[in-house]
Amino acid sequence: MTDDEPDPGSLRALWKDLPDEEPSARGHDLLMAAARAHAQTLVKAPWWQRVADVLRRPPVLALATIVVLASGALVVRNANQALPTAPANAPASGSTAAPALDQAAAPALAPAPSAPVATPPPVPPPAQPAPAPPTPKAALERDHHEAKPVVRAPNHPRNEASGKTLDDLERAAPAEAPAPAADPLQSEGQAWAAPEAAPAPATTTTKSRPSPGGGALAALTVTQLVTRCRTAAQSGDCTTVRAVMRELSARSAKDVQALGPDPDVRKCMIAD
Amino acid sequence: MSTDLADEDLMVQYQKGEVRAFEVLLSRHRKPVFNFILRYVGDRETGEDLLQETFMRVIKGAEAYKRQAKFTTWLYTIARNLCVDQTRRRKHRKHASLDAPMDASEDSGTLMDVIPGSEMGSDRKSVNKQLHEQMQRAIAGLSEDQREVFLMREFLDMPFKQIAEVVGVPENTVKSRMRYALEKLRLELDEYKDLAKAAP
Repeated sequence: MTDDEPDPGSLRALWKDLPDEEPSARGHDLLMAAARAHAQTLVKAPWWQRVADVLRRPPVLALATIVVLASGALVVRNANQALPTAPANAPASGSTAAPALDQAAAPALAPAPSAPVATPPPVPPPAQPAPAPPTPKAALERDHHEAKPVVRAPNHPRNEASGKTLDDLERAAPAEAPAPAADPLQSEGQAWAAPEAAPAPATTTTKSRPSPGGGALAALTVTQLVTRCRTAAQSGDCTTVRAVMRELSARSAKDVQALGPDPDVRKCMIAD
Repeated sequence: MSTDLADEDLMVQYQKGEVRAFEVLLSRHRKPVFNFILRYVGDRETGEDLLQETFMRVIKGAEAYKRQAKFTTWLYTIARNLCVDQTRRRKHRKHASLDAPMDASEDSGTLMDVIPGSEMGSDRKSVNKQLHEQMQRAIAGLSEDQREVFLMREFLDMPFKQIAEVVGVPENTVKSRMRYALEKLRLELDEYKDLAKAAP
């Protein structure tokens, strides 16, 4: 006992003599049962089980749903943004088609930024480049593959898809497609074969072409003229062959001689 | 499970699901807590109810128990708070007191007088009984603040610091209350001091 502590003195003997009472056992079993039941909840589950329990709670499930929906909306939105750019890059010289594609894609993309995050924006149909006018190269290939029978009919057939005449295409081709002239010219050669084989066209043409030669042939190179002469000769277009040969003879006698042994060309020249 | 473990270690064991640890704690503290409560509220039945409630709160609060805290401080804080609540509730009720006169007249006996006692009628036992009754009356006559400090200090041998933690007042306040309690008891029991010395 310290100095500042009150000293009960001899009084302490009075209460120290008080006997302690024993509590009855009626609550003991109840307490032990409660302790046993609570002990089971006290035992900690392994960490993975606790994590699983936490993940199963409704708020966590709701949060996970929101995350999935939001990320899904982002993915769809990104996919929509990527779709229009892919076809626009496809054609090598799509300078004329690109604005049309952008315009076609614009309405589809317009609602996307203002769309709420929780609901995915409506998926637009894949952008169709069909409404846009095709490039000259595509028009030539299309003529070659799809309109072969029609090609023979008009004298100066107008490209129905692009609205351009073959002359226009012919002028545009070298400028826009500096690639080797073999393929486009070959298809052009078939197109050139048409005017002679068929009578005057009944289709709509903006201007009629007086002859296969003329100014158009003058724009071609010697190599292109040689190729065109051969293809025209193979298809039996002797008018074109003769026109090309005249043009060639004015430019390069050597190439005229080189074409001489060609049986098709010779046939046309003899027929002349 | 060793029964020699400290209370705090036993509590940690129980936190790990060891029921036997709680059983040891219960057997170790049941009696002192009961006597503390009994002397505080002065009613055996209420004392047993409060004892059960005290250990029920220990069970429910086991998860939140920290090893750094002294177990008895926590245990007696629970018991003391329950006693305080019980005393406050009882103040609002009108109970027939065993010590109060049955009639308005001063010379009428009390309930205690008419309840038959189980004690033997020898002189010594009679003196002891008289002494104990007077002692209990004197303790019951203390104010609540003084009584709880007195009970914890004299019957549970708690240090003043721990009593201060249980009661939630500064240590000097506890000492002051203890001094007032002893002075009051000295006045009440002075005439029984010689009797206590003579008692076995």
